[in-house]
Amino acid sequence: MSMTPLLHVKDLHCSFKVSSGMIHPVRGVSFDLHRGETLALVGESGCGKTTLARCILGLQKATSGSIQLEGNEMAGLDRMQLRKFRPRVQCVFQDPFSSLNPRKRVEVLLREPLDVHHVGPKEERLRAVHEMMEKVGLPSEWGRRFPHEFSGGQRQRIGIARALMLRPDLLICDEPVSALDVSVQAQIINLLDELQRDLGVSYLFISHDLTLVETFADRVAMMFKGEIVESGPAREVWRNPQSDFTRRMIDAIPVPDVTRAAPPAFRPDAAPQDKTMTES
Amino acid sequence: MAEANPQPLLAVENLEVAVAGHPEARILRGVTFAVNRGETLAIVGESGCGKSMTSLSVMGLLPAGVEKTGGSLRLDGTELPITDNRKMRKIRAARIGMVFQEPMAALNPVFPVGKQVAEVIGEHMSLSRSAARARVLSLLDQVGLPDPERIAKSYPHRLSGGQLQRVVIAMALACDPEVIIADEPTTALDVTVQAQIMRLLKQLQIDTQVAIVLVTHNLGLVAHTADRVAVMYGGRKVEEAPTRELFLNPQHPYTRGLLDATPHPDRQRRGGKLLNEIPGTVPSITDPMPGCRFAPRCAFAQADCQAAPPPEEGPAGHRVACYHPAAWAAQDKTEAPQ
Amino acid sequence: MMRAFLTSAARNWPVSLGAILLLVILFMALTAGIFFPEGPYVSVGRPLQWPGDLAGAPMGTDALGRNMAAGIFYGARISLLVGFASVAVALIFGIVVGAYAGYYGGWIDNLLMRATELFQTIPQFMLAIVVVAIFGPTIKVIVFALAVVSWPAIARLVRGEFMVIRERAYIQGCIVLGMKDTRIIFTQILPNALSGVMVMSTVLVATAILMESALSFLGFGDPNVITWGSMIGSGRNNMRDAWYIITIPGLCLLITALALNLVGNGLTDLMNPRLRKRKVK
Repeated sequence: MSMTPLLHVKDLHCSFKVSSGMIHPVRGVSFDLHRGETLALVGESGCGKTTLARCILGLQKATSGSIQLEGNEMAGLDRMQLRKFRPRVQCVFQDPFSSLNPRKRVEVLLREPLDVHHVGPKEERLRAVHEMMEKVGLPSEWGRRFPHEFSGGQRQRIGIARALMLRPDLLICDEPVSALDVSVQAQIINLLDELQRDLGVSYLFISHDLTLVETFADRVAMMFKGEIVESGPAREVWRNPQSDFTRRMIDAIPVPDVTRAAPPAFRPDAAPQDKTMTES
Repeated sequence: MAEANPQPLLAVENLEVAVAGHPEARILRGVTFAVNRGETLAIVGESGCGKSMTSLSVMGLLPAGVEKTGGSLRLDGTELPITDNRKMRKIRAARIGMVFQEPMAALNPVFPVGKQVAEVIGEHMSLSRSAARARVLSLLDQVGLPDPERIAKSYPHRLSGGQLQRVVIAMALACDPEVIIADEPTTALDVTVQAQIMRLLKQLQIDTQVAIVLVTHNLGLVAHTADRVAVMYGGRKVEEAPTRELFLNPQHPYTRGLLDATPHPDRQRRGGKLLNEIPGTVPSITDPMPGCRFAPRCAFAQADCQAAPPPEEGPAGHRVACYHPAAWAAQDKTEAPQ
Repeated sequence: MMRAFLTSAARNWPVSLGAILLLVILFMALTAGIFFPEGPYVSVGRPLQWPGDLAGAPMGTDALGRNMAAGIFYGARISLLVGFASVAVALIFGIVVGAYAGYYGGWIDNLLMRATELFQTIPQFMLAIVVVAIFGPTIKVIVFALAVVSWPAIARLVRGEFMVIRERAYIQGCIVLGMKDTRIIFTQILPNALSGVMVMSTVLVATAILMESALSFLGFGDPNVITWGSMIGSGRNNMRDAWYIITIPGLCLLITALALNLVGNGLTDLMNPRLRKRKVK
């Protein structure tokens, strides 16, 4: 593609110090994300996918490499310089219980993004809030409530609404449905899908669930030990995995379909697998 | 083992649990199921359906402020003394092993794991110190941990999630239990580790004929590990059937909704929506509601559904609590399940 | 809201008792000028009259024939004033230091926390005496001195809360929104960190009141005002024959400290919106 990608990440490294020493969770990651596209970043716990997201959001300093938003370099900028990019890149978090300030009413939570960036006249902001609430499937009269009065799925709707208030080009979703029940997960995935068609927003969708991603994402990047080991169209990766890691993951995924044989890793009679892969 | 035992190993009948002192605030509304030796029963449902409360009842570990208000829990024909903590302690681990979602919560961070496994053995079996030690090592080996000597000396924080869950399973197995209650045993683990743990449980079942009650929300897991499935919603069992039957021929609208909402590779987008969602949210568990608790979210609900809770009906193998089972079959033939 | 507050307060009787006791002391402080317009220093009768012996002096008179009741009422003013004012000053300073240290971490945290520890290593009471000795015994200086010894505890607590809350997803979300640090600190984190601080403050007020009394007892108090501590100090010569002179202000101190602790213990539940809802239900 000749068009400048919305997000261009090139040879990104990130390492930092924790109590037990230096860790290096992102080791040279490169990918492009285009407008209106959903790219899923899939890996197991500790593979560096969340650190990668934090780097793109400017919550974690990248050690080296480049992060470009439509050609504008974001890596290495400090928080003040990042401010002008903020309205264009927003995020939705995994835990719907810790991602909303418990002491703020929903209306305030959704108005804050507009207040911070002085979007529109003050009296119109509340109207925009109510419009967005309806868009994500929450009655606008619930605006006076506090987060703890909502269920997990409803809170995730609030989180999505808050992230979309500034009409970002890119929404980074870090496991947005993994804390939700299956039926509610379907609601949120459908909502994200509708919003994408409605608003043209791109998603960087971070997940450990390859079956969900196969349904939802356009492209998948498989991440293992800080590197992207395989990427391609979601269905292609699922049907015809190229890397060892992807193959092993697919072999272990129980598909909810009794007409298929159990995945190889489930069968007690199958040859024992290398059990040191994820356990150290 | 007795031959052709007509009576199930673990039988739960009409179990009622409510908020202590408020019998009208019902959490479990008459739950019935049974498990036989060597069998895996999956209890499936979403948060707030009562599946964890059911497993906690069986173990006599109901949280404070919640009490059993009716029904019976029988292990091998004898009623479980679930309110008598001293007697229950003997039964737990000796006859009922437990595996929880968070292995870290089941282990004490300040003792080596081997010592903790040995403690369980010490409490329920009279073994000499060296015999107990040998048993710890053989258990750790049995659950597939490499280098049991080293693992036994390790503190919990030195081990990975999968290794910890294996240690917990070793503890559950320490005294050859007849039943293992596994409440979301793999939810906190990566899929590859999940497969290893499930395979381990299956292997142990083949070796020891232990009965497994698998409490989970993961239908994929159920499809490949359970013999029978009980689906719960709103503190009630809405459907129970052999696994294959349940997946291929669900009768309750909730079961079908759950199956359809689960992401499924290679399935085509239907009607513009990526996944078939169940509209609405789970009602509060204590919400007094006269009829079927799923009715407000059910596309096939009719007037009678609101009036009284539907009784469990159907042949012994496939029980459904619904006035209009498989109502979609008549309504729409073009969009068959699956 | 108010009703809910009252219902839960009624259920939690120790808090209610504490609050009532505090209100009584506040009432004494406010009405001192009405009941005793002549002030606490006027001699109203013979000295060392036991409580009940002299009409108009229900708590007796001291060694100079001054009305004990007037002293208690006027003393309540000073105790409450010094207690609350010093903790208010300490709160402002402690919250700012703790908030910045906890939010930024790194060298800012190191610098601020070493400074805080410096203050904590000096015995509190000694430090207060030194401050009063240097700047002179006036109410303002005493308030300042007690604030100087109280703020480190607040700073440390606030820092701890901030370090925890800073990592919550909703704060990360605010950073991603581009919210300025000061705004995050004061409008997002602080309200969530306050409940613990409020509880600690009530205990600190009690400590400050006791410390002020101790200063007055030792003669480091403001000589122009009467306080419970100075009453005890001047009564100690008559401890054997007229023990009520030290007992009555002593009891007042005990009750005040107890009341503040009771209120502090109950505040946590009352201020947590989640718990509040559950309790009412």
